Amino acid sequence: MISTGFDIAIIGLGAVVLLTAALQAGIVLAAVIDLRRSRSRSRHRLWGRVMNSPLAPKVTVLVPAFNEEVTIRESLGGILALTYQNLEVVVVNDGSTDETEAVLIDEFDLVEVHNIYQSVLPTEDIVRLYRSRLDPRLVVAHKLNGGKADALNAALNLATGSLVCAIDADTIITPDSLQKLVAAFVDDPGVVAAGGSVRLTNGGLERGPHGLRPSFPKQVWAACQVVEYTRAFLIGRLGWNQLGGNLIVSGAFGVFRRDKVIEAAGYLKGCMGEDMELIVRLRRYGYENGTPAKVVFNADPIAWTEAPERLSELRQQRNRWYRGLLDVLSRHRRMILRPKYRTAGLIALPYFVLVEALAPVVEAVGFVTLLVGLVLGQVTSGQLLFIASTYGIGLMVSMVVLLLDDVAFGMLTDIRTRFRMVAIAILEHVVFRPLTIWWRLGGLVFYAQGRSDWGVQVRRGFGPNSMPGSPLPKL
Amino acid sequence: MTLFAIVQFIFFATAVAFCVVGAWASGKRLRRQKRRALAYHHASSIILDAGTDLDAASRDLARVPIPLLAEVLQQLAADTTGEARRRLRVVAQHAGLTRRIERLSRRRTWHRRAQAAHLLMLLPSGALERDLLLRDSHPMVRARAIESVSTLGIATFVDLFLEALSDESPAVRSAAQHALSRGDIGCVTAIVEALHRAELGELDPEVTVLITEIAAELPDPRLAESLLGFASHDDPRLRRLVAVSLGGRAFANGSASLATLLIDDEADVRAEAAKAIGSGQFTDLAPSLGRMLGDEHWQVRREAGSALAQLGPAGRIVLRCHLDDRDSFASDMARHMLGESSGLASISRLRLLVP
Repeated sequence: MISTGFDIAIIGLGAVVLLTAALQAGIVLAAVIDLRRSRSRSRHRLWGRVMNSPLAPKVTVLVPAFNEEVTIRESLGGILALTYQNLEVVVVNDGSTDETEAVLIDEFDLVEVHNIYQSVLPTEDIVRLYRSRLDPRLVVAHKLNGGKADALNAALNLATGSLVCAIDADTIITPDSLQKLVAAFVDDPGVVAAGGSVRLTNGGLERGPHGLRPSFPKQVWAACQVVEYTRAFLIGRLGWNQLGGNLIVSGAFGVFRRDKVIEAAGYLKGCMGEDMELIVRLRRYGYENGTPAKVVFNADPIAWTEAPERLSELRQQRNRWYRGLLDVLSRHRRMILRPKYRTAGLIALPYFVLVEALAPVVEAVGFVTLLVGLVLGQVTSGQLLFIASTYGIGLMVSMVVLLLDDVAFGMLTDIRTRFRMVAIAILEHVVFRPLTIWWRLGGLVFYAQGRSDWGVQVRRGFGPNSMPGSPLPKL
Repeated sequence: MTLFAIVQFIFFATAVAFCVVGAWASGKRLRRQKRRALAYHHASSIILDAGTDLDAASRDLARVPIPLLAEVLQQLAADTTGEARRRLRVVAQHAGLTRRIERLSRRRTWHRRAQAAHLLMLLPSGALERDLLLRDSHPMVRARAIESVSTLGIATFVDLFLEALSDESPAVRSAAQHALSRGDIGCVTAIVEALHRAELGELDPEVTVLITEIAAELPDPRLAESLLGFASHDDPRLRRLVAVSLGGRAFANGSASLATLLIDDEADVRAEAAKAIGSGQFTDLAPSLGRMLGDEHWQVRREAGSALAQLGPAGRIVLRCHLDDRDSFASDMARHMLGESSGLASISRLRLLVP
């Protein structure tokens, strides 16, 4: 009787893992097609001279900052070094308790100006408004703390560009990234949001044959996240891009049509996954009003960000992300399996429910079942092999994604790093992933309790040579 | 067992491919990068050094694989003009690149034709392929072709660019608009003519906006004169562009139009007019600008305050008059601006603050 129960549990677990792997394999295939098409398209796009013209659409870069004294100087330096001509930068210091405001005043020679702006979206009060004497494109607002979404809404109120680009204060982007993303809006007026890929810079950046290139981090958790991010961006963005079901534009780097964001009431305050929520809402709003919103992903424009390295910070981050996902899925549950919302409602959201939201629960149940089975001696070698095979498929997907990323972007050069990356891919699957499942289960508990704390990430800075405008070691 | 073996095999195969094939491909990429740099150096020395024997040098370059050579010459073509461009064309012809462009321009796949469009400036004038690509069915190809021929001189293709402004694809329209915005004297006449036709309502409203945007960007005074006709146009976008145009250049006849635009129904137009008064130093409009300090729209008030600070003594007098204004914002703004603009040094500093 017990044996039959274990058989069913293990087969059930295997079936879920297999289904997930099959879905992911399908999305990887879509990602390969999209990669081919987008690379050919981006090669011929007018992001060069035309996007550098003063007639190109005005873009306001929105930079929400909370306790970013360590990274704000470099990330803003990177943003102001962008080669895009028609640019404005709005930094919103969201009531930082550290020296962020002082660093900004000192570094960019800020002078306080009359605090006047149009409050289209309700936000916490802006206490002081500054303009830079070094760069007139820079506007800095110091406001009462209200969270990231509130800071972004305040920046949207201050923005004057027809397009807005949301960038995290701990993110740096390559100088021509913006042109490449804005080109999508020029090509197609139906596009309401465009995202670029985000990569990790924990190992530092160096100049490679194709521009900036990350060094593979030595710290093991950061290295695991490199593999994880690569997989997430290739599957979660490129694949969905091809299938027309893109639901995420990373909060770290994305461009939006300002009027559409304001029409949809801006970022949702109090939502943990405000970036995903905005995209889902824009799509929902578009479908409901008969003007489907196109969301595109371009793998070429690259933003660099720092991932948490301490387990405690990682736990908080994953816990928050998972709560964010559950929050978004719960808020937009009415879209799920409704033909009216096309790919987003029929495929993408059910995928997020099945693979992203339910998987931790199913996998945790599977782990516990397996452990109990092993203790009771009920698990046969055949069943163990079956489980190992199903996990092997996930690992295989990771390897294929790494290979694909390497062929497409050529970020790696030496063979030692490659061997290390294979070892890290295994470690990521065997150790890191179960850990994230555990953290996400914690997120489920927090979500059930209605907790909405963000946690704190200690910033280490990008290192001396990381800024796109600064001299980098030659290859 | 079989499933496990298959999974194991695929995993190891991908891992080996990632390590070995990836490293090999990466090495290949680096070697290609080096070859490209060498070819670029070689080609640029031939093109820029007028004393080099073109025939002999082109034979040398012919040894470089055609796709690589195409890439190098395309980059060089974008940065060269005059004699250097002529030499580049000769090199392209000798190295067999011209034939390749002709072949590419007839390929079925659009990205091949887009490659040809990239290299269009290397073809001799009057080449049939130029027309083919400029009227291609794919918008990317047309946009690329426009961008490419714009490097040959705007005046020659001005009619074509004006026609492309009504293209169905935004990419093509952007390319044409950008090409025209870099225009010289030769193209100003054509733009003035187009503006005249637009004023008579002969052009599509969207095309009119595009042309007006170009005219507002170009510094030629003839364009400002033509644009004044749009100061009372129904479309607020055009009225705003008139203000942009007047703010960007010293144009004496602009005062009357700016005074009208300053009391426009649309806040965007009023704000732009206020900004233009400051940047164009229309000191005679300072009193009108003072009234805008109490405008119902925040952006207009802000621009009016900044513009008055830019106007120097004339602006300061007006600001002082508003210190006791009943409108709390106007008095507050005047106090703020006067506090900031108490000396010449701070006036120039304030100018920096205006975006």
